[in-house]
Amino acid sequence: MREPILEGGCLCGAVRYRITGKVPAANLCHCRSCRLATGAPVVGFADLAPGQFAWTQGEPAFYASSAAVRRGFCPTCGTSLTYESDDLPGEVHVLSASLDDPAAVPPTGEFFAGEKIAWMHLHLPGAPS
Amino acid sequence: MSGHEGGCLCGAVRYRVTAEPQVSCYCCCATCQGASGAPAVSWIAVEESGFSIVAGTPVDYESSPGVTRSFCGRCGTALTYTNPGYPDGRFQAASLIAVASITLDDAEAFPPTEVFHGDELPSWLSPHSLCPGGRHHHTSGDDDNAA
Repeated sequence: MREPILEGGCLCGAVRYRITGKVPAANLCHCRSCRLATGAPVVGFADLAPGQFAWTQGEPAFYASSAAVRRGFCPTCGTSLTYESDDLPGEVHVLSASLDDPAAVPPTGEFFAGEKIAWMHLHLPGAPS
Repeated sequence: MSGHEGGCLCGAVRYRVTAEPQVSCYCCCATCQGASGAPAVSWIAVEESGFSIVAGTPVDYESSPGVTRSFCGRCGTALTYTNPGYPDGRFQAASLIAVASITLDDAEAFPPTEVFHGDELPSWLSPHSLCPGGRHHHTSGDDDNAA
């Protein structure tokens, strides 16, 4: 049986990636660093196991938002694409709105809910309000 | 208004806003999703003369003909949006620039009151959960104040 494949990339199409296999987890992140990295008030992630992610086209730029963290983005159009941390070896966390189907990976949990912006009313279905 | 400052994640690009926002909104369109990597972007739109870059130089990207989005080339933060289609009749300004409001140093200063293109959100996210009680301008038509 073939493994499922998801593809995605940046707005201008210069940088593309592929995810192989079932996405093990998906979460929202409300932290300040994710907000500022994207320019958006909340971010969705496909949280991958080591070996599931590959760049397939173009050269992303990386920014170390803290000593252990590198964030990948397109240097031509700015789309935020990935988050990696030395604390999570081999894992790539993909910004799920950059998937060709942004709805493909519904988040089921939230990171850093304590940093949620005051006017962020979003609650996941089934999550306590 | 004394003004609001903001900038990107790494601090290379800084700006100042001295004009009162004409609108504070979410945009959920596919292009805003694609430009940010996130499901929706919150914007304030201000008279262009009331916006200035005070440090660094953002990178411009033309996401549609005439539409310019700027971001920090060092850390990728989406910062501004300009479209010659705005201002239209709804805005009291000669020219407008939209600023990603989450990049303000006081990111909570302007709670969004309207949602544009909420029907383009990923299906797991409802526009009304994002902005309850707000005005909703869908790609397919308006749906004001629906609960």
